[in-house]
Amino acid sequence: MLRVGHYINQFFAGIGGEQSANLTPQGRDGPVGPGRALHLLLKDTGAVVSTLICGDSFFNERAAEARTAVRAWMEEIRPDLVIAGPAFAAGRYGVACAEVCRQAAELDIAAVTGMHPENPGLLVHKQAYVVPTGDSAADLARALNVMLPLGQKLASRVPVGPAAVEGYLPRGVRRPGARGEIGAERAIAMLVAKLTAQPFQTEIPVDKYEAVPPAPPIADLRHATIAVVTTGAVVPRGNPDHLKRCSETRWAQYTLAGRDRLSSDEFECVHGGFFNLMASENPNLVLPLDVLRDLQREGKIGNLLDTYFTTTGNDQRLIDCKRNGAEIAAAVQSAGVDGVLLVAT
Amino acid sequence: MRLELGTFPVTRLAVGSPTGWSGGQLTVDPARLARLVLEDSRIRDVRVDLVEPGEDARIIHVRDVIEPRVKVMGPGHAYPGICGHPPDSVGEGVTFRFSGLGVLVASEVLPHIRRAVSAATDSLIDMSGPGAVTVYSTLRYVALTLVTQPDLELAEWNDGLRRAGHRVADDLASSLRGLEPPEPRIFSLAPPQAPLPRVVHVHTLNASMVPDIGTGVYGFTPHALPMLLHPNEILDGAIAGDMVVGYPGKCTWLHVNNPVLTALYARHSKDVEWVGSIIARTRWGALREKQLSAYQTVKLAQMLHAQGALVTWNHGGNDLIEVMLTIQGLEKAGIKTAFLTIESDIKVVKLSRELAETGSDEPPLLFSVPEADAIVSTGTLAPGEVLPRVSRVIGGDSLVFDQERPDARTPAAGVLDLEALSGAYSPIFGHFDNYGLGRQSYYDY
Repeated sequence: MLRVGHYINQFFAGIGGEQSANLTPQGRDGPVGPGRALHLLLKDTGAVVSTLICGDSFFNERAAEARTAVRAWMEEIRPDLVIAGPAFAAGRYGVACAEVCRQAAELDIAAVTGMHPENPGLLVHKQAYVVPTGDSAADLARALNVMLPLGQKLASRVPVGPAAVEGYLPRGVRRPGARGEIGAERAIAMLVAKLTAQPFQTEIPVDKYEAVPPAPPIADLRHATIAVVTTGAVVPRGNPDHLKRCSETRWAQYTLAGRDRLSSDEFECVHGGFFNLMASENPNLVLPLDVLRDLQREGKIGNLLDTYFTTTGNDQRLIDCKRNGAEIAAAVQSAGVDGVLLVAT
Repeated sequence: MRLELGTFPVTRLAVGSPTGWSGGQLTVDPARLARLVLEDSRIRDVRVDLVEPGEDARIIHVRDVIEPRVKVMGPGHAYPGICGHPPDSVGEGVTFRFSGLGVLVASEVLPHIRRAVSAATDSLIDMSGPGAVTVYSTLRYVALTLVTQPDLELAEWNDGLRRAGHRVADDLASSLRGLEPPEPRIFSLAPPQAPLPRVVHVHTLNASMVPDIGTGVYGFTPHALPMLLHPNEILDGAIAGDMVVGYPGKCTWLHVNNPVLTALYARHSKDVEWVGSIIARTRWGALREKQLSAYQTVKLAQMLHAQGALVTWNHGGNDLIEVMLTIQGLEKAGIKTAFLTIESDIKVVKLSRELAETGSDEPPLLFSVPEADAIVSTGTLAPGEVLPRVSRVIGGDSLVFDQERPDARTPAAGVLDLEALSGAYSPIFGHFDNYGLGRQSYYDY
């Protein structure tokens, strides 16, 4: 007997719409609202043993309290499976459902939700198993018919297949696996399908890029301390830390003190992503100390930090890029720097 | 342009004299091949080994693999434009080839070249066991281990090794003259009887920023604006690799055995009309150059009245920018694209569960455009285990895994934990399946 706990919002509980959105979390025995359909689908294999209802505004505005209530409910009910929603296109409800899935995962309880692919809840907990739905409750029966078998599979700890096979949205995890035909034949088959308006499915969905908000401008460069950071792998000649030419995982810092420009007797470029001979002959091409000293003399910048920071950007894993970036930023910040010249190659 | 390709499958190698093919057995005379190689004074020493798939063997210092091909009728020379072969256009007449066979050139990178060229990495091929993950573990080899003069400049070193390899390949293939090929096949792009969607292969190829080396077209390696090739030219060896860079997509054997050409020929006149291959070089230095190359590729495709484009690439990081700009331009011009690509499995050297999973922390592609909506992934070829000890090593006795620590040498016969030794870059020769030889891919979970 599968013990199912169901999370729904105030609207689907039949309590009310926006006017009831501040409803505090409350548990009910057995199924409520869409949970009744779920209960019927379970037939004699299980039951919806409890339903947690919470107002969407409450969940989003008093998130800590809501999380505590969700956790307490799961610890009390000990369900084998949690079903959240489906939330369709309702944004706050989607966020709540994703958070419920996260809490379940932390307690090692299987959980499934359903949402429209543009529901902002998808961004809350990317690892959640989310079945794509239409934008309204008209899609409820179909959605539950996909959500429940997936949930049963998760609850029974049977390995779950790829997103496209099992009917959930990609969770940001890619795993190796073989396909029916070799790559070259799949590529021409995909092109033929596209040319003849037949359905096809890309094997690599392309993500949109994350926008990085720029820092506010420096009010007065003439009194600012500037540091130089480069992914161009300019290092003291001899490469004392053995910075790699590609796939580096670390960063390094070296001194610029007492120098007016970088001489090729003292510095070189070990970046392997471009023909670096010119950069080794004149490292100022990558790390423009000569120009920065001019600006300093002319009073256009206040001060130049005596230390510069470098790594090899070439083929660096994103996970290392993020860590190196954070570490360099912390080092620069603690040195009292106002602005950074980031020189890429 | 009509090419008859006569294939002679090699299923067994034997030492003996004279050199010749009979019923699948290729008899090789190592002394004769060594004499041929040593005619070039740049080569100081050579060792000839025969290597079979499934052997408990590891080949190291692999510089290139060449499939022996010979033109027995028609203009030009197989592998035109390199090794003194004339640059006459090829792709017509009759060419004989061995299948399942490679002439493999192994040579340790000279220290001054290792210092100067970061792509001149060490590589290895395991003929059995968990490291036997690529097509190169399935071939039979006439392996040449070469010692060159120590002071050769980069271009001379490349040419010396390459001539040795092609001299031997020519000699073996020449023994086929006058024989009846067991597997003859005609390749031509005759127009279909009824109109079919017109498809172009956009065959982008990395050009090295280091002068004189890298993948060449008729031996021409520098960056150049796009050109049009008939696929038969490629089958005759118009695209050939060098002996320097270690990246997988430049291997000479691969370009004449490119499964994309096979797959397109299989569909020609049936589902599509294949109108040729546009060669577009990648790894330009400036954005404007990348844009120009992409836009000219699109324009050529439009002038060919292409309705679809199968886009491939063979190497790189920032190369993907011009590849993606090309895809974007093609789609905007109404030419539908499919893109065949490796994933960022450059980061996966050993296929542990955590390292194999990409996506959440690692985008599968370094750069992309929203128009790239039809992509085929060739997954990863990373082995799941450490490479075990082997009883036979060909090509040398130790490996350098870190170009910045050339004195840190690892005995080649021992257990190799590639993740620990090599970091994020695989030394397995051909560790990317750039052209989709295999069924491996990735799935979203």
